[in-house]
Amino acid sequence: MFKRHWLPVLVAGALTACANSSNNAQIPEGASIKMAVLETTDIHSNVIGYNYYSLTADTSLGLERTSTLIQGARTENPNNVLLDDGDVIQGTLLGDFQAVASPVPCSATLAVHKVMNALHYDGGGLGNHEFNYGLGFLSQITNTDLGVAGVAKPNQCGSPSFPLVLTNVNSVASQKPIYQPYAIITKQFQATAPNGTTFTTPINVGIMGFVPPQIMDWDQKNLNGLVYVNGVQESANQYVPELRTKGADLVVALSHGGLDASPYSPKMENGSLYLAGTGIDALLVGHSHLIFPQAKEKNAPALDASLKALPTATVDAVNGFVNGVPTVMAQSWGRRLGIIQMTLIYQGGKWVVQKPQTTVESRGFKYADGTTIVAADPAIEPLIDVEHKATIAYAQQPLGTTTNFEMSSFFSMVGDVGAIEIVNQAQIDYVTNFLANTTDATLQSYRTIPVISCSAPFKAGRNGPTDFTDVAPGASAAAPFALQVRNPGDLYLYSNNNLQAVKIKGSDLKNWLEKSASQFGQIDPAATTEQDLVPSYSTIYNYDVFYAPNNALQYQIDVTQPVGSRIVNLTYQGKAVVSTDDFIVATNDYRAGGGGNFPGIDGSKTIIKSPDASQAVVANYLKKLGQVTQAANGSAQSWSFVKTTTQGPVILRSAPGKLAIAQALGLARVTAEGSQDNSGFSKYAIDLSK
Amino acid sequence: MMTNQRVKLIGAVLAFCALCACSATSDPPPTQAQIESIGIRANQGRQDEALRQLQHWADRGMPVAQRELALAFLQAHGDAAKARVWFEKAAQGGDAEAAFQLGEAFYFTRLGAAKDDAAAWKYYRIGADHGDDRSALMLARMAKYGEGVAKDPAESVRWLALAAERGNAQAMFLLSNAYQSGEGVAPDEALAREWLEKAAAGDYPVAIQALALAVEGGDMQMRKDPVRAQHLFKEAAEERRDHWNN
Repeated sequence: MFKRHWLPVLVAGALTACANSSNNAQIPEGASIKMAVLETTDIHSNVIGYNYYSLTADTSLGLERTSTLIQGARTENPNNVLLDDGDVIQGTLLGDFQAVASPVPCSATLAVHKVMNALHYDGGGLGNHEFNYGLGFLSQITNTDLGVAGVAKPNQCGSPSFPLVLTNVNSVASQKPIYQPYAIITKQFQATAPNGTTFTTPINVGIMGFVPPQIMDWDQKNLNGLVYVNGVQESANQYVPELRTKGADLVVALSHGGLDASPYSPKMENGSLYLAGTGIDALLVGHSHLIFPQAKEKNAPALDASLKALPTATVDAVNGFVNGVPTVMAQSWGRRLGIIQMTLIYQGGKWVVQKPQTTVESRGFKYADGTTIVAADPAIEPLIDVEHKATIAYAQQPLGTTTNFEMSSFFSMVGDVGAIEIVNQAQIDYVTNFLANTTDATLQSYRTIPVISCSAPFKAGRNGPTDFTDVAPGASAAAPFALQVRNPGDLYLYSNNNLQAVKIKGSDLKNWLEKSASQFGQIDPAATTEQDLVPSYSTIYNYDVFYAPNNALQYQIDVTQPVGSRIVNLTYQGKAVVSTDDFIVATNDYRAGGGGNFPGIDGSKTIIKSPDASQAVVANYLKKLGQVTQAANGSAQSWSFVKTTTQGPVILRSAPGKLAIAQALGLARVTAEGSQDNSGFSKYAIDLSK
Repeated sequence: MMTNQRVKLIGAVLAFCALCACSATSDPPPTQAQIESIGIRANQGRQDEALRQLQHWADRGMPVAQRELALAFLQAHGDAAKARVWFEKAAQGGDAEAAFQLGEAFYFTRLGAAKDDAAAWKYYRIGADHGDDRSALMLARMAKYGEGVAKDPAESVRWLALAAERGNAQAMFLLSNAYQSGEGVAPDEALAREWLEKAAAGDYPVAIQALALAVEGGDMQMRKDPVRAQHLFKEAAEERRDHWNN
C-alpha cells in the first residue's frame, strides 16, 4: 500500500531534480525583486498582551503588538510574505477556554486564527502543541479532513483563511500526510527591470512544515496508533523537488524545531539544521523560543548559550545563516517578528536568490531604541473582544463551592494550615483514587501503604508584605464565600506543576521534615534581643507542611536546635515513625524531581507521574466537596513548636493588620502586632511557650 | 509492463536508498538514519513492509535494525518476549538504546525480567559506554543508593556529569543540585548556576521552575529579574502538558 504512495513521488523527484520554475518569457533577464519573508512563531494563544492569571495587562508579549511590527515591516518591504511557524492554539487561559472549558463551535473561528486572518497571513505550519487538545479539535479548528481513524471530516468549520502545511506527519489509516505536505502561495510582487522600469510579476512561494517527532511521546494518548512522524530531512528530500516541479520560485521551510548540531537522526527533536541543504531558500525555525540571529536592538539580550555553542562553520548566529541558508527564529508569544530580506534576480529563465544581499533580523518590541515598547495595534482587541472578556469572566465565575473561612497564609509559619490543608486533602484524594483504580501490578501492591501529602505556603511574603495567599477575606459560617474558578490558582500558586507521588521510608520523611524546618532561624532562648522566627522568605515555597487523613501524622519542631536536629515526636496514628516505615507522599513534580534539593528526593522515588495539573487536582476536589469548612478542611494543625520560653522577643514578619485572623484561628502563640519594618511587614510577637 | 511485484521491489529500493544515491547492484549498507526512518514506519506507521525490511536487516546482524525491530515488536505489537530477544542481540552489538532498554527491564522489572540490579548495572554500563545519556543517569542513581554496585556519592556525580555533558537535562539539574549541596563533589555555586540554566534550557520542568524561583528571588547570586521570572513560569506552565512524564 505505502509503496504505491511512495513510488510516484520519488520517481517524480528523480526526474525533475533540475527542473526550473516559473518560465515567464516576458520577464527581462536581469530583472530584480526585493522582498521579505516575515515569521512569527510560538504565539501560544497570546493575542492580547494580558496575563489571565493575575488579570492584568502585560506589555511584554502578544500578537496585538506583533501586528505593529508586521505593519512596519510591510511598509519597509512592500513585497512580503507572512508565515507562522506553529504552536499557535495553546498556552493561555484563552486557549484552554476555547478548547476545553467552552469549546469553540464549528461555526466559529478560534480567536487567535481570527486575528491571523485579519493580519492576512499567507501560510502557516503546525507545532507540537497543536496536538494538545486532540486530533478531533485540531481537525475542526483548521477545517481539515485529517484522514485519521475516528476523526470526522469537518463540515465547513471556521479556520485559518491561509494554507496550513505539515510535511512530516502521516496518518496510519491513509498512509498519507494528515495536512497538505506543502503549498504554493502566489504573490504579486513588484519587480524592477534592468532599464529601471517597474512591473508586477507573480512569485510562487513554496512552503513546507515540520513538527518534532517527540509529539508521539508528548501527545501519546492523542496520537498513538493514529499517526506517525517522519524525519524532517527525509520529508524535505521527498517534497522539495516536487515543489520545484510545480513552479515554486522560492522554497521556505517552516520548521517547528530548534537548532541542534548533533548527528542527524529522524528521531531528533530539533532537526532544523538538517533542512538547510535540502534545497530550501529560507528556514523559519521555532519551538525553542529563542532569538536567532543575535538581536540587533540597543540593550538586546545576549545570544542564548545553546546557540552560541553551535559550530560557527555551520551556523552564523550573528547574521542568521545555517549552512548558507537564511534562518530566523522570532522567540515566542509574539514578542518578535522574523524578517528575512532577500533580493531575487531573474537569471537564465528563473529567479535566483542573491545570497550576499540577504539580511536576517529577529525584531522585538523595543527595536527602535532599546527602550520604547511598540504600541499595540488598536485594531486587534476588538476582533476578539468577546472571547477575551468571556475568558476573564470564566476565571471569575463561581466554582460551585463555598468556604466558611478566610483561607490565608499570613500565619502559615506559626501553625495555621488554612490555605494548605485543603491542598493536602485534594492530593491525598487523588493519589488514593489513582492507586485504587490502577491496573499496574507494582502500584497495586502499594495499596496498603499510608498515603500522606505535603504542600507549602507558596505565597507567604516572598515578594513583599502584600504577597500572601488570602482567599475569601472575611468569610464566615454566617457569610460563606463563593469560590471562583481562579481561586484554586491562589491556593496552588504554580500553574506549571503536575501532581506526583513518591514512595519513601520513615527515615526519608524525617529528613524531608528537617529540610523543611530549616526555614526557621535558630532561636536562642537566652537571648534578650529580638529574634526572627523566619529570617528570610526567599525560599518559603520549600516549607512543606505534611498531613495525613484525620490528622493522623503529627510532628513538632524545636527551633532552638540547629538545622537537621529539629524534628521531634514524629508520629503516625499515635505511634512513633521508625526509619523502616513506608509512606506514599502526594506532592508535585517539582519536589518529587529534586526541586529544593531535599535529601533523597531526586526523582528516584517517584511512583506516580500524573498528567493532571496540581491546580486542576485542587479545583476538582473543591468542586467535589461543594462546601469547604474550617472544621473539616482548615484546622487540622499537624505540626507545632516544641514549647520554649525565651528571654527576649521572637517575631514573625507578616502583612499588617492581621492579628484578628490569628486570634480567630486560636493561634495563642501570636500575641501582638508590633511595629512595621522598612519593607512594610508588621512584626508580630510570637510566644513559643504557647 | 511491470508486475505488481516488480513495482513493489523498485519502490522498496527507491524508498530505502532515497538518501544514499545507490544503485540496486552496489547495495551499500543503510545508514543509521535510514534504518531509524524505516523503524518509524514499522513502529508508529504500522507498515508490514517496513517491519519485514527491519527483520531482514536485523537478520543480517545490524544492531540499529535489531533495536528498531525490538521497539516495533514492543510498541506496535505488544510482544515483549520478541522485543527482549532483539534488544539482547542489539545490545551485544553495542547499540546504546537497546542496552538502556534492557537496563530498564532489569531495574524496573519490564519485558518479563525479574528485578536484578546487577544485570541492570551491566546493561546501563553498556549503554553509557556507547554514548547513551539516560544510561549514565541511571548509573548515577544506582551508585548514589548502592544498587547493583557499592554506594559511592563521588562515583554517582561522575556519572551524572557524563549524562549532563551528553545533554540530559534531568542529569544537568541533579548535577546542579550536587554542586549546590556538595554531595559527592566539592560545592561550587557558579557551576550549580550554570547547570541549572542549561537544565532549564533543556526543558526539564523542575529546572525551569527552580530557575524561575531563583531569578524571581535573586537567589544563587542571580540578577533579580521579575519579567524573566514571569516568562520562565509561563514557559513552564506551557510545557506542563508535554513534559509531565519527564
